Amino acid sequence: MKTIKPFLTVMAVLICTAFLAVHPAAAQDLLLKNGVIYTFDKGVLKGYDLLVQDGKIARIDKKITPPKKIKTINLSGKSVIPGIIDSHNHIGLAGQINEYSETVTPEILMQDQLNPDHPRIYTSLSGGVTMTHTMHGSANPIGGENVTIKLKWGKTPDEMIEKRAWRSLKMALGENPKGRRGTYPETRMGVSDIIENAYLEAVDYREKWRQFKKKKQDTPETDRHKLIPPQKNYRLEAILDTIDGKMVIRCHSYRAEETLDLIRLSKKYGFKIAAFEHIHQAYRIADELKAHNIGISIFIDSWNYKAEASEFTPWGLRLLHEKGVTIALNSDTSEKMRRLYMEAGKMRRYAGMNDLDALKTITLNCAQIMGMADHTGSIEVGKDADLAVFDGHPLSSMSKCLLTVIEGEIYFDRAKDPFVKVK
Amino acid sequence: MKRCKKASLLFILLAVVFVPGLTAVDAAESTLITNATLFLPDGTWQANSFVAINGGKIQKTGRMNQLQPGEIYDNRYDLKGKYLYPAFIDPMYKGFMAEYKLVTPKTDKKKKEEELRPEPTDTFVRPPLAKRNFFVTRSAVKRLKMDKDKTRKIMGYGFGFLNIMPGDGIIGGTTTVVSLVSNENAEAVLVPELFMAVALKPNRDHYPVTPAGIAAQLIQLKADCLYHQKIKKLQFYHPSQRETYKPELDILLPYFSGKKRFMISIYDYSRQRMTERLIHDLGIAPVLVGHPDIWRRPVAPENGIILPLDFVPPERSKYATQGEKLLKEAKEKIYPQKLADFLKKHKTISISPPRVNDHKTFFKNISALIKQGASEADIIDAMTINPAKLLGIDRFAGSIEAGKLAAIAVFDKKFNEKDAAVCMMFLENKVFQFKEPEKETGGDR
Repeated sequence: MKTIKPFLTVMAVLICTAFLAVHPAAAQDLLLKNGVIYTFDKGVLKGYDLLVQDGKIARIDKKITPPKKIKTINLSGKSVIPGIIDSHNHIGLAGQINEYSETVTPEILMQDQLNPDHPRIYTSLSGGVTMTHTMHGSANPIGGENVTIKLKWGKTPDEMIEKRAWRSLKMALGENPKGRRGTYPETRMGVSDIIENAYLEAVDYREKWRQFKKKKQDTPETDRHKLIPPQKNYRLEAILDTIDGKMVIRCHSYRAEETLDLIRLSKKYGFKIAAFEHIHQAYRIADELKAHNIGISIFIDSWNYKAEASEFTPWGLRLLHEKGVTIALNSDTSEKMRRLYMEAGKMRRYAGMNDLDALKTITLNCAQIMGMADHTGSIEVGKDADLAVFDGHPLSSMSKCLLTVIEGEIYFDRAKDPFVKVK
Repeated sequence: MKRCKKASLLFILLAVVFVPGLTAVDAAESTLITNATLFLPDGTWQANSFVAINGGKIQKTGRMNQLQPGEIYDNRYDLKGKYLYPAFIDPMYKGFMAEYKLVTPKTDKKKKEEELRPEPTDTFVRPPLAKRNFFVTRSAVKRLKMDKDKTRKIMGYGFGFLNIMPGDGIIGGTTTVVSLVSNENAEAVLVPELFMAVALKPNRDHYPVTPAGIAAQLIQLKADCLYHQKIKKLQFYHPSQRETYKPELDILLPYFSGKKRFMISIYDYSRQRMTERLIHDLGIAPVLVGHPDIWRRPVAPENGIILPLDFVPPERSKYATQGEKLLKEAKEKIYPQKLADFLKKHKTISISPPRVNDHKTFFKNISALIKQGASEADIIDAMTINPAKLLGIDRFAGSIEAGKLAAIAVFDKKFNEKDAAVCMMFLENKVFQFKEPEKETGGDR
């Protein structure tokens, strides 16, 4: 019996641990005590407490006494940062991410193929990531509608989808959409032509409806039923949504000249570009990007993997930072996603940023180009309690994420993870 | 003497050819089955029962002591110790269909080069539906090719009726309900065109190549159907519009307007939300073909769910990615338990073999479900009356009741017990006798 008792205790602990790891704790209030809190408006607050109520950040202060008995975690000087956001990724999608069969496919919604079981959702949580912009691929000039998700592992797709974020449409310029399978477009000019043609078609479609409605008004009521209406086209209606400001553009591009061309089209047809993706030659057009309030979503030091990705220098980010362009980092691959904090650390070296500005490139700046800056991306009272707790400096490659919290719920706890061998 | 030898050789030859384990006897007008144990429509068993069959229909059933003495039947079968089930119904069977032959036009080299660099096409004019694997005009009944050997094999597992489902394309065409009573197409068909089969499986090269593209295409198709209907009405005023007639849209309209039903194969959990959106946005009530994860979030079970009975967790799920031990536990315990609970909760579900002709796995999985707490009666319902209701053939099939077709599978023991086998099948006016179950190999559904 003496030998069985400890065995049973260990088994009970193991079972509980596994259960907790698979089933995240229910929504609850939370008090994080004695942490180093990285805020963007008040700087780094050492020895502060952070109170979470109803999934929102309720108070940041020294020695908070909770109004009632709530879950309290003593951080003992560990770092608390806003939940990390990946501004460009393809995580959690089941099946093909490129509707490459045709050149213009804005009518398809990536949220339709969201796979909440994708194991990378959980592994990304282990790097402090709380939200990601899951995008259509770059195989066609106008792709599909992207989806913003919070990494609520174990929840349904509907609970993951962030409806407050901007609706965004993926466009792509350069090598990826051109020359695919020997079909049109073969050149960057062709890509531009396809995008413009799509907008011309959309404007024409709107005009047809306008004329039909006018004709209907002018026709006596008895004859109205004889009129032939224009045919409904969801593809063109999706493009019209970008003109009407209901959807923003996130465009894959590398070279400066084609980027400027899309800015020209955006002015001509009135659609908003939220950010250019990858954009290796952004430093050449920093003024234009700033003038049009367009952000960039980039890798920090990855280039030369294809011809159009050759003219890049991470030092160019210093220029972009000085010009005030919104810089967001992305992983593009789900594996790299859990190490985004290390990528942000490189911004100190290349872009000459301080800790907080470097941290913004994986938090607030990402939220800005996703239309979520009012709700998350920084530690401010009233914002969603999307937080990551690190055991050391949050930008150091020696640090580990210990705790990932989304809207007050703990989705990753290293101490309770049965699969983490090194604690 | 020589004549005698020849006759005996001919007899032996005929015996070898015509008695390969199954004999089909054209039964006489009336048949009486006595002393059998009968599965009743209320889900209970009744021992010492009789079933009287007349003209291919069940005339009456009851206990042996209710049988009137002096009744005359052409045939009598004493089935003491045998179990009588309603013939099973497979609500999604992908077989008995002639293959489509692909006609590849001969092309010369020059033409091939030209094809490699086609002219710029208008992005907003889509190719015809069939080129995108939306085979709206197809129907299983048009391709039907009943096969004697396959019929015998399937019947050997107690199945009497099948809903034949076209297997290719995103829209495969309409399904057809057949009875295995005959190998003649015309005699076998019960319902020529039932559901329009939709598979949420994208194409490889033509639009749509993404699952999301399928949803977008179906939503656009509904709008096209409605527009087409409107234009047809306006042709009287606008004769030029007659040229725009598209028969595919005419065929699809009743399915989008709810007069007929789609049958959507979901394949995995990630496509369930999309299916929900389609049901909502298109305003349709499709029959859904589920998958092992269906218990997590059943979409509209009231519309009817067909569950291919499989316990293999999805490739990228936590059960499949965290070691062999968990995977084994998932296959042997977790999935059977979850699906058993699911069947308890939703009693209108129909079940089907996991892959075409994989009946062995099917019955093995049924035993696992029963072991995990699913009731035997619910399982039998899921194989008989539930699919009969779903396919609209419950007036004459799905249970052993007076007035229904005589479709009875006779097992030597309860079908979920070890080594249980079908000994006889009564189908309408025919009796099929089995010596031993046929061996068969599984295929992909």
